[in-house]
Amino acid sequence: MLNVFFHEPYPYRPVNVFDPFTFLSLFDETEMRSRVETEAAYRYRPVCRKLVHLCRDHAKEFKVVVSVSGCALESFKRYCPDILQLLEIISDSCCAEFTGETYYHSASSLFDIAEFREQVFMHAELIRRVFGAEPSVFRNALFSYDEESRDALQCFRQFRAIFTESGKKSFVPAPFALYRAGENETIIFLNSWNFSYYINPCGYGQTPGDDVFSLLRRFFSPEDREEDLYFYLFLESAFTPGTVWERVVENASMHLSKCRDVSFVLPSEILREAEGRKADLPVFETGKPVGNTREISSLLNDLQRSASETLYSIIRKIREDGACDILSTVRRLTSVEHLLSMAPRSGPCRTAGKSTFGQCSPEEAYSMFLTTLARIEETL
Amino acid sequence: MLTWEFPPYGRGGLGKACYGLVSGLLEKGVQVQLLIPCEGTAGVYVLKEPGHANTLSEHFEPFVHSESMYQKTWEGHCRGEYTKDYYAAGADLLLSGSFRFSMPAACISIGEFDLIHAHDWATFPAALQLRSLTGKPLVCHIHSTECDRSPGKGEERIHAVERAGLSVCERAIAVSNYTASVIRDRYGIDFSKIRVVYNACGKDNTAKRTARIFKDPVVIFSGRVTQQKGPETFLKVAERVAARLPAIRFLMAGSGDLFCRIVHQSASMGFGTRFLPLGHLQTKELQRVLSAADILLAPSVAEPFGLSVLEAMSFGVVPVVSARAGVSEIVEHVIKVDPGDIDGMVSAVVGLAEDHGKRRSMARAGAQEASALTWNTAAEAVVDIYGELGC
Repeated sequence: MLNVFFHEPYPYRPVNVFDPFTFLSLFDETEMRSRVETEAAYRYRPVCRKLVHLCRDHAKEFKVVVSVSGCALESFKRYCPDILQLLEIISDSCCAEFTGETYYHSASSLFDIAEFREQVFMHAELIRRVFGAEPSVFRNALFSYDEESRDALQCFRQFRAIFTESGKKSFVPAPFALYRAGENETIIFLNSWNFSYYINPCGYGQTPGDDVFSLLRRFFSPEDREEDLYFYLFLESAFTPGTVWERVVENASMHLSKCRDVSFVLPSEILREAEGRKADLPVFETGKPVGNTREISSLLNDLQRSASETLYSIIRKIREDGACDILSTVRRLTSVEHLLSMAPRSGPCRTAGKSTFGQCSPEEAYSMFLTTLARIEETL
Repeated sequence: MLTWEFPPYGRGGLGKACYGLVSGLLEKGVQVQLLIPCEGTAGVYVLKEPGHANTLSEHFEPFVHSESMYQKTWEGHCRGEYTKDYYAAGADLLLSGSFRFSMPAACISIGEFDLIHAHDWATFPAALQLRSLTGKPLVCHIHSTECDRSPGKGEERIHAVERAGLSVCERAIAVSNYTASVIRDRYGIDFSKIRVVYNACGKDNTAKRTARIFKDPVVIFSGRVTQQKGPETFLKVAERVAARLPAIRFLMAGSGDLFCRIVHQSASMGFGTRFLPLGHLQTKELQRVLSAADILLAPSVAEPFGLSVLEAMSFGVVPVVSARAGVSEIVEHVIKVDPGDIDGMVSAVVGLAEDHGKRRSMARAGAQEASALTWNTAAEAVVDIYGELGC
């Protein structure tokens, strides 16, 4: 399953206690425009064009899953409408499916379920309005699956499966496993953090003679298996250089003519297969470690946790007060990239790069974020 | 005059104090050749008139020395002639830090000054060398000792440098009686050559309250975030005060080796926006924050003086300060608590936060008290000390 992810968080201007503060100046539109235009030229436009070609020329074999955050769509519309047009062409082909997302690519499922539900709704509405699409799978990568977020998704009848990377306490070492959520109808696609990391594009980049599909065949011999084995190839701007996006998509077209033992798949196809044997699927128990465990807490340090708790408590207050204009502004801060700057430099999150704060330390990033929240709080 | 900091170079209290004192001395007609370490060497600034301290960069002068004097100095250094008093303090320390401006210091226009005034240990090796070369009297000005900066044993090599300077100098100036006691007790310096000259408030006493930033009471910590200044005590007090007054806000202005630890601790304690670590602030930024704060909590473990207390008072902030801090010897309109008395600090902060009337009257009286403590007075005392040395 090839998944491309488009996301552009709003860069905000950190304010200190002595700076003048207005909601209007909280986000840097000039920086946003420059960043989006650069990313479009470097990554999104060439890749979208290649995807359009693949969808046209290999309509039967090629399939791609498109994940796009609400803020990315907003900025494409504003600064690079041609990207939006290319996405529409991809969407109109029979080769693509969209995933459900949180509008701002946030960790709201961990901190505020009502906010999570609202952001999922906002995103679903936007995808419906712009592309006329209705995703069948909700993608809650980066952060965890649990019963609470699953139940929150129940009101979205369209989502028959949740695609995630972890339970609150575990990561599984399998490449891509299917589970069912207890008595609940939902199917869970559980991706392997370990495996994804192992074959991540950095490793790929170090072996220029290989393409990622050849690597796949080397690690898993399809002839040894009775069932299909699903592998998830995720292209995310934060982790993957733009040139790698292009090369992966290029190799995908080469693969179509050369490799017959690996094929592309869409979430709805996996879902059909999974629903056919639902009773046989193992139940996913969120509290139970599976294989080599990795605590979800290792992804969120004390600074990120404190910053998030504070942010979501402010959002709750704004929601209760019904201040819709302020809410839509403050929600932009929920993009997880704002938290990544608070991770240690050597940690996995830091490599994601997109720091709003330049080269400052995690502690400084936390302090600036918190001060900004204090200024927001003071205006309420 | 040798100093380690002077605005715009350096960010600490030493720089502020030196600036205030030099401004006062210039007002009294004393001319100052100011030596400040720069990258790999030292800058010499010749200040002759009031106001020159504000425009430092305009008064830079290249070293005035003869080739032979430089050669003599260098040869002396190579033979170890000028370093015997302090070389034992550790060659690596001297060479890496304070010694790097010994050479230029020794080479400046020798004979064109009357005495050497050296501020804190880092300048002492150079000052001793100058004294050795010129025979001019040396005044060692102690703003803080290694005992204050590093509670516990401290760095033995720095102790040695402080002892060397204080033993040889003709006069030692301490910023408080507390500091005078420390240098007598720790280094065995004869009390008869120690003089106490208190620091003062900035010359610009037009500090005004500006619009509030936060509606709720604001308690501020202002200073280096190091063990000496007691940031962990501040955090403990904040936790207990916040339990009683959830709306109160705590700001920590400053940076230092404990900054990261304090930030992580405060995050784990769930303060949210009630505890804001601001990091290092420029002078104007700090003034803006002070002008909108209500209470200064200065829980220093050791505080030779505490310039930030006077600064806060001038902005109408009411200090809760260690009774052993040097500044406590000269101010009345503050709340004095024993260092380490967390209960006392909590009561003081809660009392002030809840009693707006008391806070306002103490703030007003404190601002007047601070404005009466001027650098001109401090400079007069220093001129008297120069007079004792025949200058």
